[in-house]
Amino acid sequence: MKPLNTNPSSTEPTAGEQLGEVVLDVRQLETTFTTEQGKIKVLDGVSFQAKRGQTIGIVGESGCGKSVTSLSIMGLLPRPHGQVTGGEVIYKGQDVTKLPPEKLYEMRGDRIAMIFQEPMTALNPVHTIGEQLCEVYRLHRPEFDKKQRKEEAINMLRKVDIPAPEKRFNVYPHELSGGMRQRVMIAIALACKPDILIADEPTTALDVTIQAQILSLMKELQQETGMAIIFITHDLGVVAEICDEVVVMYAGRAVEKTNVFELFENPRHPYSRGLLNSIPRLDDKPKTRLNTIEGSVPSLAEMPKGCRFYNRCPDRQEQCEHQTPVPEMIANDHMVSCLRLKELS
Amino acid sequence: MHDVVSEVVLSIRDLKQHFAIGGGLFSKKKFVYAVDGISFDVKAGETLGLVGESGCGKSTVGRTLLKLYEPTSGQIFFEGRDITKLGSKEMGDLRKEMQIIFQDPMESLNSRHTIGGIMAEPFEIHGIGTPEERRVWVEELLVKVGLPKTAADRYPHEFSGGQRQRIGIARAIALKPKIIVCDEAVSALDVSVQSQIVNLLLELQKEMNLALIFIAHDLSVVKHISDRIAVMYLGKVVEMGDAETLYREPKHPYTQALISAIPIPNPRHRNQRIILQGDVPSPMDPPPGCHFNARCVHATDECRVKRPELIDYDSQGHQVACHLVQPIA
Ligand SMILES: Nc1ncnc2c1ncn2[C@@H]1O[C@H](COP(=O)(O)OP(=O)(O)OP(=O)(O)O)[C@@H](O)[C@H]1O
Ligand SMILES: Nc1ncnc2c1ncn2[C@@H]1O[C@H](COP(=O)(O)OP(=O)(O)OP(=O)(O)O)[C@@H](O)[C@H]1O
Ligand code: SF4
Ligand SMILES: [Mg+2]
Ligand SMILES: [Mg+2]
Repeated sequence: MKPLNTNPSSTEPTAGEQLGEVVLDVRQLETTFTTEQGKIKVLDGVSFQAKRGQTIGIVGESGCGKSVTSLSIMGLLPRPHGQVTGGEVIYKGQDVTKLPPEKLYEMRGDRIAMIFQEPMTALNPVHTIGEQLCEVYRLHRPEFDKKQRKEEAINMLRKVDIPAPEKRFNVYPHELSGGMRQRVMIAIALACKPDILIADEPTTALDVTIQAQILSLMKELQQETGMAIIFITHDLGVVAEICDEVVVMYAGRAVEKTNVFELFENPRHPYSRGLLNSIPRLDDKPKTRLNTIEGSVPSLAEMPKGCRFYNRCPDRQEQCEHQTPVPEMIANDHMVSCLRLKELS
Repeated sequence: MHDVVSEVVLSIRDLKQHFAIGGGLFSKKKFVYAVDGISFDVKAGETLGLVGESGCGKSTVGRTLLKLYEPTSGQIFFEGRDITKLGSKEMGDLRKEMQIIFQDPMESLNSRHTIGGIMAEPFEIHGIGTPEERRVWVEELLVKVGLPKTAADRYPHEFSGGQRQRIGIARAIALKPKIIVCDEAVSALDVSVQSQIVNLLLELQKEMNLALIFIAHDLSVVKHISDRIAVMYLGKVVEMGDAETLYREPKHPYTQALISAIPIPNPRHRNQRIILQGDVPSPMDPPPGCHFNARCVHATDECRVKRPELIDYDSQGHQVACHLVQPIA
């Protein structure tokens, strides 16, 4: 076992565009919020890479820092109290967390785009969806004239399978169903063919049949454009469906990171195991006890000093209370952060 | 199963709930056919799961059968007694027997009251016990749902989502009801906590021989907790049956698509989905014929004009409403 190398040379940007090439390298990301209770480190050393044509999932319970991770990457943390206080996010050789605001603004929606859980909050209710799509081109493709903008916008609506796109161009967000609105959000996000799409619970508010449509659409568009997707979800079923790699987060830390098959077939962190064990499965015996993880996530103010999973961990020992686990690589692409890793294998 | 399980606690027959909307000076009155002729029975100790897409009428069924809404038509029987026409006075004591748990039970509660105060309310409303007795009962209830007695002196905001749902459950079982409608009661919880609450509900059901109506959009959870499941589409039940059979051999094309769309937590099971086209039509103007015809890959001309009835598919209580499904002898 070798300690986690925080600066592997293989992540240097390479020439050409190959599938699997690292397009975004998040290294030891640390984000702090200044609150009434003082400074709280909401993210504490989160590392992962987004690769061309692949989907990396970020999974974990409510409040573990999934959304803050994406906001940190996008430079959208609430100012001034939210700040990236450590680590780096490398895109094309530059640390985007240190870019001046104008540069970031240019990049957002163009090279790195984002979609959210509730499209209604991200869409502007007083503009038609056509206007909102054209606005993206006006900002990022100033060389387009009005006609080109409209053409491209309708093209995008067609691409996300919105029926009668010429007509829908003129409707307002509230005239569309939840699923249709999420398609519009995807059209807006992908309008400039970004290298990276960050999707924060994009299907959580949707019905399963609509979720299945959206997931299949995202896979199709990824195959076509080769974009890297960072897919945030708390649903392990969705992870299994769409991700190539997965980071499991707990209370602001990445506790395990590996490829999707390894995670489901050989989870090593006690939290990952607990999480996978507690999902009800269709082939379970009906009306039997489900496995659980005892207790709930402590608030950031009451966080255990050592391993943050300490108070809920079925495998904890005394050392875990005070000692902070460090990420270790147990295989090429399998990181686990647990003090008892060796004994628990 | 043991024999106490057999008595029917609640039945509904051809229950309808049509909401009138609009109808102002300049607009014609329209109806939302939220629940459009539903019948089922729930027995003591049994869970009936209600599933279907957003807006199909699940919550409305739950609220109407508890008489939180006056039904448009149809009948509701509680322990064999027709309660459809009872006024709120006559419902009085019956309310104790029928409870509902929502997604976040604390949302509607006064955050300035202690948990003890909030939980004593049902007893106060029905004039049961002295303050001292109530305090003892509240503490017993807290312990029963896995919380410390000291929780009684704390405030709602001091609890996590899972703990708040435990309190909601404690409040719902306080008056020893016969039936509880759980409307998305575990939907907002994280999976590790959700499984704790599901276990708690299963334990309490067994202990109190409770009838449960379990509404949720997570189909794996519904399957886990239900004995029987009713699948709803646009205000109607399209298929109903024993949970195991329904998931193993769904007969209605909608049920088939719904079950097939469940993301399975196994990455080797990808790409085996039936992907339905389009959205659920509006319950304000449901399509003629089978409500599902526009999204159904098997739809025939008959499906576009004639509405299929819910018929017995077998003698085990499996019912299906689809022109293409013939009962087995
Ligand atoms: N603006 C803010 N100010 C202070 N703390 C914040 C702020 N936004 C988020 N946090 C805190 O940061 C932590 C991580 O929150 P985050 O929104 O990233 O969680 P999440 O994993 O996305 O959860 P969910 O699944 O509920 O969306 C939480 O403890 C949250 O309370
Ligand atoms: N009080 C009301 N007045 C008018 N229409 C209503 C009312 N309550 C519900 N509806 C409508 O009735 C239909 C059924 O709603 P209901 O809330 O029962 O659906 P549901 O299956 O519970 O959906 P969800 O999964 O989103 O909770 C919807 O079209 C809804 O807009
Ligand atoms: S470090 Fe200790 S407490 Fe933390 S997950 Fe590992 S065994 Fe459990
Ligand atoms: Mg979030
Ligand atoms: Mg509802």
